[in-house]
Amino acid sequence: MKIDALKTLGFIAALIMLQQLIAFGNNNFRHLQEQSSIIESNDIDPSALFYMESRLALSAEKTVRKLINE
Amino acid sequence: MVNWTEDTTAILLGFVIILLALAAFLLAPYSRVDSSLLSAQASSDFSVAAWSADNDTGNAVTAFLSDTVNGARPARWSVSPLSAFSTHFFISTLFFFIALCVLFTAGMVLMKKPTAVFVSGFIFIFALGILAYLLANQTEFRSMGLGYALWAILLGLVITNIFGIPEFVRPALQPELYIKTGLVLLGAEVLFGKVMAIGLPGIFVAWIVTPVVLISTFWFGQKVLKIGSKTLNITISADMSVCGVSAAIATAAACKATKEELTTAVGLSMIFTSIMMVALPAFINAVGMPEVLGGAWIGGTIDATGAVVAAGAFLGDTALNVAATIKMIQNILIGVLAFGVAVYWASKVEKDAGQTVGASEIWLRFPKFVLGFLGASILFSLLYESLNPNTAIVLVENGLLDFTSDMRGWLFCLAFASIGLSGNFRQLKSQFHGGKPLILYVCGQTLNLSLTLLMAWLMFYKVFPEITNSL
Repeated sequence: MKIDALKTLGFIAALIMLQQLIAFGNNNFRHLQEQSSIIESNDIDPSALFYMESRLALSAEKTVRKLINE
Repeated sequence: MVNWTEDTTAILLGFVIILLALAAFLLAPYSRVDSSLLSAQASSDFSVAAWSADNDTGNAVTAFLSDTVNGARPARWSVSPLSAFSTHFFISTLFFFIALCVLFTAGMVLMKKPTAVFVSGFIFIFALGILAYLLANQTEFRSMGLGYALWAILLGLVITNIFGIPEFVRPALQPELYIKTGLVLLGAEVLFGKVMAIGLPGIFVAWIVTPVVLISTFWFGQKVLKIGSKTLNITISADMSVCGVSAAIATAAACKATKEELTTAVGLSMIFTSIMMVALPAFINAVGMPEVLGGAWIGGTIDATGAVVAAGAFLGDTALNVAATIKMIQNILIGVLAFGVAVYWASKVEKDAGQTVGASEIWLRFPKFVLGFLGASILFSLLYESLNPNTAIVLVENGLLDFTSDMRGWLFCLAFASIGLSGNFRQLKSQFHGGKPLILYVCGQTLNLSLTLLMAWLMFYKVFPEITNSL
C-alpha cells in the first residue's frame, strides 16, 4: 500500500466539498433545513439505515398500541 | 462433532454476545428491578418512563459494557474532527477492540484459520470502522443520513482501488462472518409478540403489500428486465420492499449473493432512502393528504426505520406514530423472508434441471445462520412475553436490546469495511450494466408506493375507520 499524498488530499478535498454542499443546501432550502432541525431536535439517528429500534420509534409504537387498546 | 463453518461459528459468537448481555442486563438485576416495579406500578400515577428516569436499573457491569460499546464511537462533530475524540473514547476503544479481537480470534481458531495474521489485519479494519463512524457523526453528513455503512464501504473501496490493499489486511477480511454474527443479534430484536398488540390495519398494509411487491419485483426482474443474476434480483427486491439494508443483508446471506451484488443493493437503498425521506413528506403536505394516510404510506414505503421516523416527524405526531408502527410490523417479516429465500434457493434455484432435491440436500445447502437468527428471535419473543410488561420494557427494551443493537451496528460496520476493502470498482460497475438494477428498483418502488397507498386508504378509511378516528 503506497500512500499517495496527492490522492489523499484529493479525497479529503472531495469530502470537504460534499460537506459544504450539504451545508449550503441546509441553509438555503426549506425542506432540507426542516429535516436537519427535526433530526437534531428529536435526536434521530439518520445514519441508522439498518433495521433499528430507536427510542423514538419504540415510544411511537407504544403510543399507537395504547390508543388502539383504549 | 460440529463442523465449524462461517455459519455455525457466527451462531456461536452471536449467542456468546447474547448470553453475556442476558446475564448482565437481565438476570443480575432481575429480582431487584422486578420487585421494585411490582410495588411501584400499584400506584395510580405510575409511568414506566418516569420510574426508569428516577431509578438506576443497572450495575457496574452493565454500565461498563454500555459505556465501552458506545464510547468506542467518536462523538458528534461539526468543524474539527479532533473534537470527536476524548480520553474516554480512547479507553473505551481499547477495551472494545480487545473484546472484539478475542471473540473473532476464537472464531478463527474454531474455523481452523490462521490467527496471528488475523489480528494485525483486524486492527486495520477496526480503525476503518472508527473512521466510518467519525464521518457519519459529522453534523452535515448526519443530517443527510450518510451513515456509517456508506462510509465504511466507500473508505474500503477508495483504499483498495486507489491506494491498494495492504497484504496483512487480507486474512481479516471476513465480511460473511461479521454479517452473520450481526444477523444473529438482529434476530434478538425481532419480537413476534409485538405484532399481536398493534392492530389489524397496519398488519394488512405491511404484510399483504410487502410480499406482493417482493414477488412481483422479482418476477419483473426475471421475466421483463431479464436480469442475469437471480441473487442480485432478489436482494434488490427484498431491500426495496421490506426494510432496506438489513433486509438486503439477510437476503444476500440467505441466497449467497456476491459482495458486489450486496453493495449494489445497499447503495441503491441508501440513495433512494435519502431522496424519499425528503420528497415523500413534501408531496404529502403539498396535496393535503390526511396525517394517518400519509404516515401509513411513509411507513410502508421508506426503507429504513430511522428514515421513516424522520419523514413521519415532518407531518406531525400522529403520522410519526402510524409510520413507525407500520415499519415495525414490516420489519418482523425479515426473519420469514430470510428463511423463505434460503429454502427456495436450496430447493429450486441451486438444483440442476430435472434434479429432485431431497430434504437432506436442502438441509446441506441451507444457510445455517438463519437458524441462529430465528432462534434468537423466538428466544427473545418468549422471554419478552413471559416477563412483567414493565420489567420487559426496562430490562429488555431499554437495557439488553440497546446493547445488542449497538454491537450489531459495529459488526455490520466491520462487515461493510471488509466488503469495501475486497471490492473492485470494475466488478461493481458491471452490476449496473444496462441500468437494470436501477430500473428494477424504480419500477418496484413505484408499485410499492401505489399498492401501499391504496391498501392504507382501504384499511384506515374504509375497513377500520374507528381505529383511524381514535388516533
